[in-house]
Amino acid sequence: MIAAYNEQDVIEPVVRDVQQLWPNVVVVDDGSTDATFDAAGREAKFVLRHVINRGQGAALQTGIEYALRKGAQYIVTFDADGQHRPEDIAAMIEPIADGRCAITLGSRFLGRRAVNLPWTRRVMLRLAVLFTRVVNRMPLTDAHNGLRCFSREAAMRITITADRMAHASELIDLTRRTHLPYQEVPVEIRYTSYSLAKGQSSLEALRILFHYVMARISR
Amino acid sequence: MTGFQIFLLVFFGMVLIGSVVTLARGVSPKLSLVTMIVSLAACGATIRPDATTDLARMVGIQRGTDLILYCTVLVMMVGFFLFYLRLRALRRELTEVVRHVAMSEAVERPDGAAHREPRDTEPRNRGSET
Repeated sequence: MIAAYNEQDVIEPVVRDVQQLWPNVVVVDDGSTDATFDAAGREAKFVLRHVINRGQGAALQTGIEYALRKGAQYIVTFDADGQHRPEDIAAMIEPIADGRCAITLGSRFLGRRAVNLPWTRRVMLRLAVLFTRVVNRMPLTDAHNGLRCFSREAAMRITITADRMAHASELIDLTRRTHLPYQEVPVEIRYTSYSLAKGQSSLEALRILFHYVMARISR
Repeated sequence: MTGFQIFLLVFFGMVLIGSVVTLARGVSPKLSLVTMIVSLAACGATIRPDATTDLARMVGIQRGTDLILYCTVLVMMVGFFLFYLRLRALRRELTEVVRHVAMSEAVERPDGAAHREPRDTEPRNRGSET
């Protein structure tokens, strides 16, 4: 499933590429102000729309719930901006299909090299990983990778309640709490100039941290 | 008593009475209780400003005004935090509604991506709506 916010330029080719390999694509338009919904509707098999923007975490949750309703056995979250490769999806599902784990998390640091990764972004990611190791007690090499796969059982156990982007860290937390086996899978991230422009600034990262801490305190 | 003190007393007195009424009615009991206590303390501090200094000395602070300042900051911080929690809960409820609408208006194409409009015609429909 693909959560999208104002991605009218790239959503069609992204969905098309994925659907060639995996025909059941669910797109959730998170209250986009551009023509994302229409563009997605031209390609995707299932399209949902949030009437107002609720954040990526909420959009993912909507997509996951919808997929579960439709009887999905495996749910893969995939970014709308073309950073992910559809070819990596198979590698995400395989360990779960084999019964080795219930959740797979894509990692750009395992094995393969990220393509065109600027050093500033690399440092921010390393810090995020350190944060995850210390706070979530889960050793992950890539804490902010949107490419993830959940078995049906895992998806049902996870409820994303975080607002805005804080869901990335909360998702790691929830994964740990399910006590279901998980595995990191090497994937490749394509850093095009488009996706880099949309990426998180350092200020965004601070805001995410704040929201995450608040969620932890007020649980 | 100066005019300003009278004005303050009237104001705090009204808040006090209001909070007592709300408490008696059972509306937001916790908030009413806190408001009642705070307005009562405010009335007391207005009538007897020196009493605040005695109170402050009891907890090891030199001046009454300092005590009031600390208490104000404390109450404000707690108050903001509680409102923040309420806001978060409200946001969550809003998302639930938005999600419900999204689910019930979901667009599904039975033939999937195979159904594609030719590029040079007006896209009249995106496929069948369920």
